Amino acid sequence: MSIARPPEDAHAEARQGASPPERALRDDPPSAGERLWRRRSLALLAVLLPLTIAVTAYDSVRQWWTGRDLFAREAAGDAPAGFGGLRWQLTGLRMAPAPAGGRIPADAMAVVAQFSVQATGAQPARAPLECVVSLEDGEGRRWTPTLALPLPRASERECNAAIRAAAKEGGTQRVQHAFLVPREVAATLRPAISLASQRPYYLRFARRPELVQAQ
Amino acid sequence: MKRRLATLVLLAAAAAVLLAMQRHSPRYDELTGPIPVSGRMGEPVRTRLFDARVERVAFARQVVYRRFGSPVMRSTSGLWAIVTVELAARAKSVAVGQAAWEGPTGLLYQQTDRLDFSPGQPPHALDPGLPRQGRFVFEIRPDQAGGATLRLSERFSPRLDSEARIALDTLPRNPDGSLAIADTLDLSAASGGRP
Repeated sequence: MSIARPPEDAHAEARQGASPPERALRDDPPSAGERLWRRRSLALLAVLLPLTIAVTAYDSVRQWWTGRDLFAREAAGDAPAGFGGLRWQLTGLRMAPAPAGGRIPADAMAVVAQFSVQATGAQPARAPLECVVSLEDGEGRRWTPTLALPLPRASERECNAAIRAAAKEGGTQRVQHAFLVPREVAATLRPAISLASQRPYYLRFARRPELVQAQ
Repeated sequence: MKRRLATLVLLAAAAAVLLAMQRHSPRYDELTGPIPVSGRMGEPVRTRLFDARVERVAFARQVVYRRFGSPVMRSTSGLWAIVTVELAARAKSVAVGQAAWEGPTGLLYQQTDRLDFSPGQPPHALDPGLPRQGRFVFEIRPDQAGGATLRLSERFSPRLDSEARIALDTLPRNPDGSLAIADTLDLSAASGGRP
């Protein structure tokens, strides 16, 4: 008994040695239309795969991008500068050696930075929540305010309270923060202001701390 | 026949591999958990945010300190373990607040909360270029003293962030080789817990 050969099997001659069940397991060669769709699917994969990665990673990348201070907007040492819908001015930047003991390590310099801030009336795109004042050196190291140096009670506030008051009450608010930095780099540091709403941009003032006699 | 057998073997192998992957895949909290950075006492261990070097470990049966000018004594049915660490911030100011004592059998002791208002309590605020000593106090079972590991991180259970795991392998010993345990240790002393 012979098995009927399918008429579309163009490669049947090439499989002369194969038994009928083996022949049945083998794929027929793809037609021209099928080959075209295979190529289209492959090309689409090259587009869809990066697109899927981009869509799933979008939130993470955005959080990374807006969670860092990457680009400095330079401000003159004592001139007011607009940033985040607020007008900032560096009003004081002084330093004095801090005596070691308690929570103050050896060879530390105390730096006090003072700013004035007022609302400009321009509504920022996002509320300028989370204000961080810091000092940075040329290598990108950052010092944030310390609690080891209690400042005397004054009209100055910490940054977040001041910008909230500036937005709510208006007028000029004063900001003051203290820092502990190594003595050898203290004179090279520059103050910076970072607002969560403005990242990856931050404001950096072109002024170095001035040494004063400790009181 | 051979081809079918091969197909069946291939399917069985694929099923076995999939089952093994399913059983042994790490859970999400393991995948995103702390990234351990291991080291030993006396050598600096570099995490992403800070460097830590364990200087010494002391044991005591009771600790004393001053609170609002009055002496306070805390005893224990186990042991007080006091670890003194030199800490240094790397690129930015950071506060190291989380420490745990992992005993040889895996028992994990968080820092004690019985020393309210004692001096030198964590979190230890660090600024770049200004290394300082930090002290971590644990109340442990005596059989968990030897072969322990100190776990140190900025915050509790860091996610995808480094955690220092420092083997506490140089413990105070008596001349006869037994563990040196002080009767009383003064935490108010500036030495950072030296008995």
